[in-house]
Amino acid sequence: MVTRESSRRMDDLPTWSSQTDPRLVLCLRLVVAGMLIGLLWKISFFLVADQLHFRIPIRDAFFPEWLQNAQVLRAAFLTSVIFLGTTLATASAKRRKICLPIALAANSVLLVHQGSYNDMTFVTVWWCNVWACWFAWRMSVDSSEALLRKSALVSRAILSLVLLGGAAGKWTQEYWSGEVFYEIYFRERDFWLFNLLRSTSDTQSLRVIATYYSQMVVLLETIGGLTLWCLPRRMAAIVGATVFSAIALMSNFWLFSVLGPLIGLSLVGLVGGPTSRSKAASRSLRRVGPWRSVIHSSS
Amino acid sequence: MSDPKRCDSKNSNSPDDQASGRMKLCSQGGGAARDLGFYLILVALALVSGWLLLMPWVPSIAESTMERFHLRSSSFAWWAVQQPIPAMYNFANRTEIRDLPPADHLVGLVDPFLLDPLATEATNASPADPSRRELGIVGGRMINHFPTREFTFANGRYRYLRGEDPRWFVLESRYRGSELSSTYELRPLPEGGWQVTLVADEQPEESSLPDGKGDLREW
Repeated sequence: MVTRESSRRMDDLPTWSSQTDPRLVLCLRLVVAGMLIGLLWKISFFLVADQLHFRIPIRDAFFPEWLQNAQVLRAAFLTSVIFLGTTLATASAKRRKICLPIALAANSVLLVHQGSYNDMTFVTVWWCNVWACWFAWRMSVDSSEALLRKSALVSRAILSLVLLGGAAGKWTQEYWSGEVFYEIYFRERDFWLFNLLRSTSDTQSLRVIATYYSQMVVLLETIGGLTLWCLPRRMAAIVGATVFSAIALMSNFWLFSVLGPLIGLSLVGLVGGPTSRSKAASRSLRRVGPWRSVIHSSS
Repeated sequence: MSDPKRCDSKNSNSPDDQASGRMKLCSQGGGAARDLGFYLILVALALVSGWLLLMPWVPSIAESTMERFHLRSSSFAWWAVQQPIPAMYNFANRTEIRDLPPADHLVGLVDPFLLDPLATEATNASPADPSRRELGIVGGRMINHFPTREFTFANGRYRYLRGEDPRWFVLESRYRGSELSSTYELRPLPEGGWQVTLVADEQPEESSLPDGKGDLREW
């Protein structure tokens, strides 16, 4: 018979009981929702592109035959959306473990298909999908707190990598001088910020603004890429979500397709803040540093 | 993925067991299987980060990325392996789309005067400005990454490949003194669609050219 005392103790237990901790489910759903937003953000364009891939096929011996096939591209995209959607909706851990690897396989095809390789949406979706596969697998293995800590670290590391990837390719004179952004955005891009700047500045001033804009982007991505992974998880979550949203809001709304998955991944750090018990534990673990504490809890 | 040893209440006999021993084990990780996935992801992220951090200082890394951007990696497998590496807005990539072959391919075939009848400053003008384009150029721009998207991406197919005339795509990427140029010719196929052929390539300036590279090459 369960007494009131033992019942209270049960309530205090960490959530590695047969019920999945809702915080873990929330984490996974945030990331999967971000991936779906990324995939569907440009759906109007993808629908037109799908028709064009059939009407104007191109033959390039660089790609294997099947990766030039428009049917394969369509099937991979639909598979990814359907299985991620199922993951988002299902409460079954088993179904999640089946759906996410299938979605990862489909996203891997999108990453290397002739019709989609150049879209960075599929790069960010792919990394988030890797995170989601691992996370879904560990939901039934790790204690909630340990998994929340580890997953926050992995998410920060992925976010840092994406920022670093953007930064490293810009460590060159053409970006530092603003030449590239001037030509891509400032000269004729129809976007609220650039329209506003063009209407209020002459060409010479616009060129100077482009230089400052470009240098700000390079510095932001560099600092973010080098430091985001080692920030406290809540701070990293807020910084990550803010930076990725700002990039899209200040340059191109279409970029939410690339950045949506990363915003979802950033928010993982906001879930499951330290409880009084874990605060006490982290005080003792702080002596050995954040890396040791995460790695210890995973081994 | 590692074989999970479930860290739940099934193996516990009583709430007291859970509250003391099991909880301790789980919170310290002793009850969970070794998380190989966690280490694998971190190792992969560290390797890619190392690759990116070395790119400005190791020309061969920048060249490999340029070849990735131009679909000219040594093999499709090597290209595919690099695809998860984030490369948003990398390098200064410029494209020029032509309905006549690049001028240096026409030497002796067409009077150069016909290619540039006014012999104006247009030669150095931005191809993005239609009024100042050189004859033979139908488009061009600075592009964020993957200049080959001009003919593989749906936008480019619609813009440049709706007709039946051949097109030449002159692509150029620059990064910290390294440079890669490629010219792709696209010709319509009788059965429909377009055939892509790399007709001219220039290896990155800082790399040593293997014998035979730089010649006209058909894929």
